[in-house]
Amino acid sequence: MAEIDFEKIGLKVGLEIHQQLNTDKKLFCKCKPIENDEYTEKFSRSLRTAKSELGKIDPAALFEKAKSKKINYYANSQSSCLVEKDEEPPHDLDHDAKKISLLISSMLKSKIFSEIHVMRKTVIDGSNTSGFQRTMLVSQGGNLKVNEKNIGVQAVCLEEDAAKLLKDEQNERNYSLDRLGVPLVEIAPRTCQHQAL
Amino acid sequence: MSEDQGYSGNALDCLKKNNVKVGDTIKITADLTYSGILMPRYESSDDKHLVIKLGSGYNAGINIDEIQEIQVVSSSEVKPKQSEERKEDTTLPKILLLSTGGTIASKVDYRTGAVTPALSASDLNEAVPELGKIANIDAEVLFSEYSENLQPDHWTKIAEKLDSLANSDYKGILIAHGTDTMHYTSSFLSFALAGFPIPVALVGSQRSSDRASSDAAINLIAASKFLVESNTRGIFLVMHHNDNDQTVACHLGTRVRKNHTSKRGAFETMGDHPAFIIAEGRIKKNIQDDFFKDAKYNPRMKIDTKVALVKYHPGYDPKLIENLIQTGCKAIIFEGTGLGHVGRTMYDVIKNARENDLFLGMTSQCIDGTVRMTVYESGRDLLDLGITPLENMTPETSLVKAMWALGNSKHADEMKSLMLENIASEF
Repeated sequence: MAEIDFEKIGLKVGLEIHQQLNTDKKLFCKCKPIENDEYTEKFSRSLRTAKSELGKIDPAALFEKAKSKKINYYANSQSSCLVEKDEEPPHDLDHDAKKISLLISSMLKSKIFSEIHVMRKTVIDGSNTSGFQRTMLVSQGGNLKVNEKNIGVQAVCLEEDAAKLLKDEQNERNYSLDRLGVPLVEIAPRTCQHQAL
Repeated sequence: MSEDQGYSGNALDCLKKNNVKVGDTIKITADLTYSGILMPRYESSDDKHLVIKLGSGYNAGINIDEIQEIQVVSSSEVKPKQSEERKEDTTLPKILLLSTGGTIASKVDYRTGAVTPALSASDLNEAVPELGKIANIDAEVLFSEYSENLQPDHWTKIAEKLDSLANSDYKGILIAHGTDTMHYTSSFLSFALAGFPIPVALVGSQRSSDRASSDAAINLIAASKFLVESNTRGIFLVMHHNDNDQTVACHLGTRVRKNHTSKRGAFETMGDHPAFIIAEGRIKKNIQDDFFKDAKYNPRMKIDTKVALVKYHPGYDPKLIENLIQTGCKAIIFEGTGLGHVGRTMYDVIKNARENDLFLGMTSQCIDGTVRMTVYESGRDLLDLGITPLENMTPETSLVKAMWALGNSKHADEMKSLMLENIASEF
């Protein structure tokens, strides 16, 4: 296979780094972030398209709606409560997760916002029972030196992990709720041209 | 939300100085540059930050002390929405949706921050197109209040509106209502409109309709189907049956209660299965009897609110009842313990209340079950003192019924007799 000249073809690659945080509990409830294959509860939902904060319908959401699958959720009471089931409003943000994300932003010399807001990112594939992922922009900008190369940082976000896909069939999709709500830091490096590490 | 969209003090001054409004696309120069849309702010927040929705879709708070410059890139323009011509299928029955407010009927315009409190018929058909296949739905806004703000005056307005439609060509009536006090409203309508000729379904939602996981559409679809196909009469409350989106319960308006703060299936019929279950497009009937005990329509819509609901507990101060007597209270519904008891420290004040001609009714704080005051000595004492046991009527329904019975009776005996008559499946 002929070698591709990345600079010549103008290849741009965007990366997102997702890292679960090792906290004692999930981001918005007291449940322990443990994975377990034994499920004691099952329930089914269907998601509908809803307008975003700006009154728009997300095209990806429309696409998912068109598929209109029944979504089955499997839960274990050790790792999921009413918050994961979208049957109760979220509790206070986990303090440790907030602290770790601020530490990561500081290490990356990323500018931390004076006020951090929890946002809803529409996800209608069923990977979140609410139909959106709770996420917050912690900081913007920054950089990290790796092998003498400066890797720019676009943003650091703190968010909840998605439910784990167990099975995807023609009319139904099964998820486990263990992973839903586990704190996750998302680091978005600045896109750059052919900057091999 | 106020016209300042939650901004106050220094933050509001900063917006005014720069001539910026919520919804404008702006560019803020601080240590970095931020471009995005100025968003509303929660009213209890501080006055040191502006909230901006960045191009990435994220919201962030920018400290106004760090702001060097704000430029308006473009102003928000609120374009009046062209309401689309509805195509009616003349072969379908007609339903009226009355909006009273609450989560189910509210719509938020996040660009301007304005809360549009009610859904129009076209909004509804756009949001829940399935409804158009069940019935032709007209929509009307009666008022727009969260249900904790609804008062007996509001119940009367709803009842009068329904009464005016008793001979209409509607197959049924949907009432969009906030969930917190929906069962009080359904109780009042059940008594005030005894024998109402077409079915009425109160519908709410526990998850707002601006989220994909909202229960609003499923409840509305099930309630509409119920009104059109059930061939029954009565005042019902239609909400999710449990965690699942597939099953919706239809409860008797006088036997239902909100038993959970946040679950979709928060409402339960006390002591029985829901009257109907709507699942997978089918309606299953669980009740054997008619909702109204007298088939003849007999509207009695007056109300007298001088009634108190008193939950007895260890340490209850009898002077509180004295205060009720002195403030002109005409009836007290007790939520007693167990089978219907209050402690003997209450006997003197109960005697006093009866001497002042107050109606005293007994329900149980166990909520489920029937009061039986003949079993224990204390119960028999209370019966001797003139307390009326209200069988298995829920405390909330008993309260509303007492208000209604007071308003629609000429003397104490008539009021008591109304309290004990089964009018709308309340026993």
